[in-house]
Amino acid sequence: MNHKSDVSIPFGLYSKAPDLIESMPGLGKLKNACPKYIQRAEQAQVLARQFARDELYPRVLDIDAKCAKDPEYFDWELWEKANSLKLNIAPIPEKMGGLGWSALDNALMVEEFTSACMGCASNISFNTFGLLGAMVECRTDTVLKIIRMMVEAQRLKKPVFWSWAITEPSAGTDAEDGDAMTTMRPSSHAQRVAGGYRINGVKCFITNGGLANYVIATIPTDVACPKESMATFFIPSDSSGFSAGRVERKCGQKASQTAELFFKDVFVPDENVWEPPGRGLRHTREILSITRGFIGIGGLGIARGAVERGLRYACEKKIHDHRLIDETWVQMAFADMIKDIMTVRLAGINFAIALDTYHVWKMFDTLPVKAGLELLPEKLLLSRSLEGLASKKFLRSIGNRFKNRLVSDGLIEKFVYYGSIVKVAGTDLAVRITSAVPDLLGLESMSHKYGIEKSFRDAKVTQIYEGTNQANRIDIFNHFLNPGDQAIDDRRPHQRIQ
Amino acid sequence: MTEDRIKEYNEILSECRRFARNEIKPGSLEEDLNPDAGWILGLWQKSHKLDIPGLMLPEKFNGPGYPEICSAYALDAMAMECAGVASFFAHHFAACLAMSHANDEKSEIVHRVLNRRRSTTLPVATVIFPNDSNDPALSLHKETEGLVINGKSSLTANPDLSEIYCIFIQEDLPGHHVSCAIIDKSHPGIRLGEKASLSGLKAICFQDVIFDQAKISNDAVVAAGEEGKSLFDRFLNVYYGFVAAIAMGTARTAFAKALAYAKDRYQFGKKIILHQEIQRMLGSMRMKIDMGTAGYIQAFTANRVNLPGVSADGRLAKAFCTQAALEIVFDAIQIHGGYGYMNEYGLEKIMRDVKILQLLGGRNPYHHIQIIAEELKND
Ligand SMILES: Cc1cc2nc3c(=O)[nH]c(=O)nc-3n(C[C@H](O)[C@H](O)[C@H](O)COP(=O)(O)OP(=O)(O)OC[C@H]3O[C@@H](n4cnc5c(N)ncnc54)[C@H](O)[C@@H]3O)c2cc1C
Repeated sequence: MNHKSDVSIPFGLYSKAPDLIESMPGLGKLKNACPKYIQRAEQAQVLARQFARDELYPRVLDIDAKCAKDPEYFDWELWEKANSLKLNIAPIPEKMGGLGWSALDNALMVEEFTSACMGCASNISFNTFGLLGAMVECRTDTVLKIIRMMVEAQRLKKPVFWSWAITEPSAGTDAEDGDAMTTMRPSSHAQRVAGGYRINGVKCFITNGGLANYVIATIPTDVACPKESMATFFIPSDSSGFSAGRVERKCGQKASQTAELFFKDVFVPDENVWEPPGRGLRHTREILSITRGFIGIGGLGIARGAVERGLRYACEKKIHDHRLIDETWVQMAFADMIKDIMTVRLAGINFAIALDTYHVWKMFDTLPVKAGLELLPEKLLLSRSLEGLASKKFLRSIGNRFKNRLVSDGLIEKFVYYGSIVKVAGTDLAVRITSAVPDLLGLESMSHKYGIEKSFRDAKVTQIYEGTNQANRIDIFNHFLNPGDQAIDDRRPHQRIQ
Repeated sequence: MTEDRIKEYNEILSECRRFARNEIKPGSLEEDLNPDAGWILGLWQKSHKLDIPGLMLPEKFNGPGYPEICSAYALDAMAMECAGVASFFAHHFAACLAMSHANDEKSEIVHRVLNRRRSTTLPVATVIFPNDSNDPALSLHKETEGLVINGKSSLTANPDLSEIYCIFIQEDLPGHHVSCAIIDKSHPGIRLGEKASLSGLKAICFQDVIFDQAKISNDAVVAAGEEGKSLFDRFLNVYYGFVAAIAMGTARTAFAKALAYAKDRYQFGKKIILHQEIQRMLGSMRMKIDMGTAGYIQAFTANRVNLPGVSADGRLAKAFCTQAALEIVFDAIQIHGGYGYMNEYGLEKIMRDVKILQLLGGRNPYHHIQIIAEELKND
């Protein structure tokens, strides 16, 4: 079949139309039952797609080239644009100044952004780590404080960057897996001192390392028993004794900065101990139970971006008497890629909807949170006085207990399992597709200007961070054979709470 | 092969390895970040002391008369330290194959080249040949005094640094006849396009070579018609075999790095090489290196036993070896975890280099198609 040269690519970088229901018609049933939920998701997709097309796509190659020369280069103009649309605080409830985006909305944003550039996407949409960390921790006053800080900064156009520091030079997988952690050789240590902890050591490969205003770090209090003593600390980067190393030179995702972090007698007061010794691993696992799926969706986005760019190239590139797209084997190969993208997309969307239904996002659907957001005026919600009130011992732990009932240890492991499946599927797809697309198109398509070689460089690391795909497979297999917790359907999520 | 020959090849291999380790390795990462033509030209000069540039020349031109496989081994050894440098030599070696074809009274330019070799050094040569990305395709018009060439050779390797161009060009006649000419870079009617910014093989540069009514005298034509076609077929086989050898060289290094790292790194309380999955990955890498190496050697072996259905086509060796090398370096990076993605470990460079190697001289799946399509034509 011959295709017109102005062939329209139905989604993403070259088309405005939202395609949530179009590409996943099964969601139609959910749309009937929860019209608002899906309509909002469609709106989120439109906004994210527009931003990806109009703001990211035209400048990501330039950013990549500048970062190749100077790894510390950061495009603040782009950041400001994202900030003005609140894309970097999207999950914060609308009433409190965010966009009130569900996990599904966020997943759609991640897919759109990563199809343009995974590095830039992570600067914008993964910078909600702070909020995520606070939600996982869920002490009422901490959550309110973090939200206030992020919303205030957004209004003042001041960046607030977060780092999540788990990996150490000698412990990557060991720092994320319960069994491995028992054998971990820590490079960092937190010593109990009056009123808090004194931290020494080093963390490596930390995203936003040099930019971070705040670092959430997991560090053991007893290096001989890391699993039993792992704690989670909240550390402002202006703390005395804290420093970041040079920004690493890496293969791709150059727009996202990676650096080592050094702690030299950094004092962390008790109030900034987010998880006490022995609970740090749980904190890590809970974060992973959310983020792994999003990395999978990021991988999917990278793959999609490569296919979109590749299709466009194939439509324009002439070889002697024909266009590349007219070669039927090329059409077959693209068809296969589209099939894989659509399949993994379903898995990603399903994961995001599951996060909304059963995981921390569910909190926004619970009566106390809904009532609080409904009844309290905006000013009060973002006030220090409410924060002060919430820091009273009883109120402080109420949020934490409430959330832990909602999100049990068993549920976390279940979501590590779900997330790992999406992560491995999406990131393996990213590597396979970004390598296969140039095989269809030829040498010239690997020129920087077409963006395909950037997708190829960006893809590989997605199989490594957020737990290597081997570590993810260990989690998939172990959980599949030994699910531990009750089936998800037995949880009757809403009934339990009310 | 005789014992003596094997010994001789091993000596050449050791020399080239030493050259690669001592001369190429120290600069390869820096040159990847900040490519500088001076570096590769410096290596070229140094390589003359070992007579590497003349490896492909037959005895009649004062060369050592080694078979092509010997050059492939040399490229394999160089590629262990930098695939870009190896490709620089590969293009030159492939051009030498064509130059060697010239008969004594034939080409003034070949004689000039070879005389220079006798007196000083052999200038770098590169090849221009039809492949599926040339657009518009190179076209040739035959006149009584010679040829007129028009069109563009897309993303040709090293046209800027080479002094001699060896051009293969399809004749517009039935039978797919080919003319092969050797010309000076400064030949009228030839200009270079912009330098491309590719993600790998950064040690060399790729540029379009544009022919605008370039007139080439019969003197510079070393082969034409059926003879040209058969030279072109030989050239392609050798060229693709060289690319395959380079891919295997890079894979050897990726494997060695991964093996050493896996023996050193602890996770889960033991060296990661003790995890079965890491052993499986390393074993699979080794299989691909062994099979790929056997595959490219086979492509150079003229007197092989005729097994039915075996073509030993250089294109297939290239397709297999470059894919194998890419998979090997993917796994080598994976075994290194986060370190593998960082520039100073040298693995991500190999990944970028191999991806470009894979695309040199046409798309691999397209080669598969062509091989069967050609067989059909010959049926
Ligand atoms: C760009 C980038 C950004 C990053 N950002 C962050 C960040 O923000 N915060 C953070 O904390 N970390 C971050 N990381 C670190 C990342 O999470 C780690 O690299 C990752 O967890 C792997 O750890 P490692 O590199 O130490 O590899 P290792 O754990 O040493 O693994 C080495 C190899 O052994 C394999 N392996 C280990 N155990 C087994 C087993 N039992 N069976 C089979 N194979 C096994 C692994 O799969 C891998 O192939 C980042 C890394 C990169 C590259």
